[in-house]
Amino acid sequence: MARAITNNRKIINTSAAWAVGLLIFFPILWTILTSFKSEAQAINDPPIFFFFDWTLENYGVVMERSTCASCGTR
Amino acid sequence: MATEHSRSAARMMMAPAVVLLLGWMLVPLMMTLFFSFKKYLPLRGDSMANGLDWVGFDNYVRFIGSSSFWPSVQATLIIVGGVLVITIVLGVLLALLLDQPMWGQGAVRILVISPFFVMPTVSALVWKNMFMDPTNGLLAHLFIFFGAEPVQWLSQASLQSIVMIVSWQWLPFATLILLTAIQSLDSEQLEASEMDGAPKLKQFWYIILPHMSRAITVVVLIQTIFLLAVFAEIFVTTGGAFGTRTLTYLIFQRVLESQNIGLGSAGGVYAIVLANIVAIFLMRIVGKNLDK
Repeated sequence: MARAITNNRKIINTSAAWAVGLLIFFPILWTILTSFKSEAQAINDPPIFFFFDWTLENYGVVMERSTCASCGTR
Repeated sequence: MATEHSRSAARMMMAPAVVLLLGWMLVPLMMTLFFSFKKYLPLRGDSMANGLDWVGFDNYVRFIGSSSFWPSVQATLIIVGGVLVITIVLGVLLALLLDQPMWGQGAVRILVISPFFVMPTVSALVWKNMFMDPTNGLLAHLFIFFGAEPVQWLSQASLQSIVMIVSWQWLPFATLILLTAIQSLDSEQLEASEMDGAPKLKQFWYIILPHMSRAITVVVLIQTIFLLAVFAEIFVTTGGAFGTRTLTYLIFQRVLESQNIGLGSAGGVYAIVLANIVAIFLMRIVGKNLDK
């Protein structure tokens, strides 16, 4: 029979697991955040976490440079 | 019951796949063996059309005689060993943690598994430019924040940095497989041991770890196969400098940078031999584990 788990135990487990999970996920999160930054803000010192000017500029540049811009027309 | 007739029909139907796979494996292997006994320097005018000179074991002697051969074997083994130790130790701990009851278990699991979905080249670029860069990297900012001198990761601790990047990529794999192993453990065994007064550490050592040994074995085997061929991480970050030239990378340099296909092919044959030596050792250890 499974035993009841105390709430305290569960809180400790949850916070530990989320801390580790976020630590492992962080490089990906940081990549996603940086993709929305302008060139200047991406290399800002100190690094800016959320309060930068969000921009889609980089995504446009990638699409322009890739040869796939003409995929549909070919 | 399979009759003689249906069995031969099955063989006929399998034949195309078997022939294709066999060709897929044998043709490159034969070409490598063929080139390894030839002098083949495309930049000096050697070509298949003109016929290649047979040089016997010259390429083999030269490849192993080069001063970068043994360091490259060493670097390969350090990377494979380092990543295996890190991923399995952390993987066991993470699997234990993720198996506990908690809120948002599914979401945490996805977070932990996420690095596995990132392409090796991309993750190497991300680590190189955004974390390990001595001026713009986040790790450098972190070091300065705590008043320490930023480490030039990829030149001062190059091999360790690569082990770190590759471990980050392979930790999810180890965690995932070990987690399923822990989940298959019958909780009644643990409860019975608890009744007998077994402390947590002994429960882990005598019940959980032996139960996981098969899964650990599988992780070691699969990871070794893939880690012997680590290439993108080295190509993107250090380009083989600072002692990070593995055997795979050395072969790449011989073939594409010095344009010496014969020498590179001889290196390829050595790599096959090395992989098989490692595999035999592993199979010995693992075989004992799997037979139980």
